[in-house]
Amino acid sequence: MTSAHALSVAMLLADARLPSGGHAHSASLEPALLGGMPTSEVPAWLFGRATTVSLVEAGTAVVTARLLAGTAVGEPRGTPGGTAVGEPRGVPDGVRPAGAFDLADVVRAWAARTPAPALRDAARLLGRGYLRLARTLWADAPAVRALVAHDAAHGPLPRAVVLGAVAAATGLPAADTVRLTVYDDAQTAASALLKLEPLDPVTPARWVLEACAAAEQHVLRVAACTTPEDIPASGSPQTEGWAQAHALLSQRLFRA
Amino acid sequence: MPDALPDALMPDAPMPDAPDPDALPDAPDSNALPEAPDLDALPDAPDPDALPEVPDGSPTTAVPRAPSTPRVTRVAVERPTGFGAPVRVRTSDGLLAARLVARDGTRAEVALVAGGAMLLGGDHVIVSVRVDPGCALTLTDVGGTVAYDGDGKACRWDADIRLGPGAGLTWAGLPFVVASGADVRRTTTARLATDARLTLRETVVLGRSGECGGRITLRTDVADDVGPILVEELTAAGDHPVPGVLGDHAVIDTVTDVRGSPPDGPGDPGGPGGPDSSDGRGGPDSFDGPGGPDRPAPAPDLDGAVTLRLDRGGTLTRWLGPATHLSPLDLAPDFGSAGQ
Repeated sequence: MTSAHALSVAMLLADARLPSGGHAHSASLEPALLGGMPTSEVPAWLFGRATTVSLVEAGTAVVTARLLAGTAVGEPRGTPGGTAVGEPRGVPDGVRPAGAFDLADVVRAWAARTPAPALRDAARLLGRGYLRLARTLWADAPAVRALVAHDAAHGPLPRAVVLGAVAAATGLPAADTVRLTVYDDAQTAASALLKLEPLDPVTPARWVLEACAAAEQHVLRVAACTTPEDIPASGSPQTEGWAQAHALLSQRLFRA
Repeated sequence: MPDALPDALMPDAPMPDAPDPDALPDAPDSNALPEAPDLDALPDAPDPDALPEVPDGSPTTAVPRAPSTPRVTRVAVERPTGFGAPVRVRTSDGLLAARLVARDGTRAEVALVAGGAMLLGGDHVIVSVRVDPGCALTLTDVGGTVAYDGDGKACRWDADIRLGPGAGLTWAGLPFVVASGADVRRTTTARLATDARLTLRETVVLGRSGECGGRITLRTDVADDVGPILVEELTAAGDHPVPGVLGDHAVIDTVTDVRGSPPDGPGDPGGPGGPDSSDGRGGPDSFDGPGGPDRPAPAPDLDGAVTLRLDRGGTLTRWLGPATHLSPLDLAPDFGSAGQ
């Protein structure tokens, strides 16, 4: 059986109708509005996300995909050159070659770049939904099996890591993985906005494209990430503060 | 000795039990200061032993103004040579001068003093801090720093921190002001050995009074033997506020409190939670208060500030606001708080 084209996979992943659990999230928009950001600032805020936190997620997905591409079974290890070997675990940490990394290193790099617990929790919740999907759709893909094994041993993985595994399993090019991440984040916020504020539904669609355009100058740089250290660390302190406050609210429409 | 310093250099809480430096044996390699050694002649890998030990209370000397010369300000705290002796402190001056304020058998306090007008376009401040196993250092800024309009030339400020096993550093930084027209890259890189503890306050202000402020990239990279603990790169420009990043706030005030992994293993590296900074060893001076490994932080009594619990333990407490004097954060140069 021929596989679906990578573009089809990207469209599937970016489709809000996909049952991945994304509908419960506003990509930090509800926290921002409840934190006092006026609706008029949403376009600038989307621009900010597309050039900061979205790139952290995108870089995490790209490095994960590089690590998992062409893996066999077990926990893969990567090298800065991007090659991954499918050796099962069991090599003591002390003897791995300099610069080599594994899935736990990618997760650690992502977590160190995501200081707000509320945002880490939200990303792991989304990762769980994505992994359920990936486990069903690409059950035999070594990249997905590596994730399932890691998930069982170490707990839920963030969405960006699961997306990276899907990219590895389906041959989604790195640059498109970056664009998909940016688009998905912006579109998630835009569709949440329509549930929170009365607005002409076409207006946020333009903002989504503008946010994607703002990220375009960073796409190749992020797509070139090969090691966990390469992952962008562009933070968003105000968003992090809003996310923490939102996580304590009982009256909210979205999970995060 | 501390008495020899001008009042401005005295810490808020001078160590009462500081041994009389006059009673201490001279370090064998204690060259005469204040003349700093020529660091440009040093090899790339800094050898602290090549630096003379600083006599307590050495007078502040004017550093020759030499923009664009990346001379390194070094502070190294080493274990005492003998029982009862104070820690050895070696310093060298760059654009910032380092002055020993106080010390005892495990701890030292060093003040960083601007050697001249700074930061100008093309300036590159480099601060290198080394603390030996089991020793503690408190660094204080004597004055805030202003990055001036560089007329199109960028400037840099890089701090490199290496803490040995069980070592501690408390750095109570004063505001770093980014004037309109300035273009600054400011980085803090820290490597923590087992059980090392790092407490940093970093206050960045966009613009002097009445200014919207220049451009700054603020990078923090803290890691231990296991891997990264906190990696963050914030970019802000006073004339282009971005909602979600800083919004229209002029001040970003951050206190970071992190530890190197405990010796008995790093916990679960891939999962949430991880070792918590509050394992009972923080002592009563631990600013973030008690809290179990998986317990959320007690509602912080810091109006408007947010405390983020990092995935691998430790906290980042941050406040965004219009003016530094309104910040609820506090990291007083409390001598000794870095120690165990």
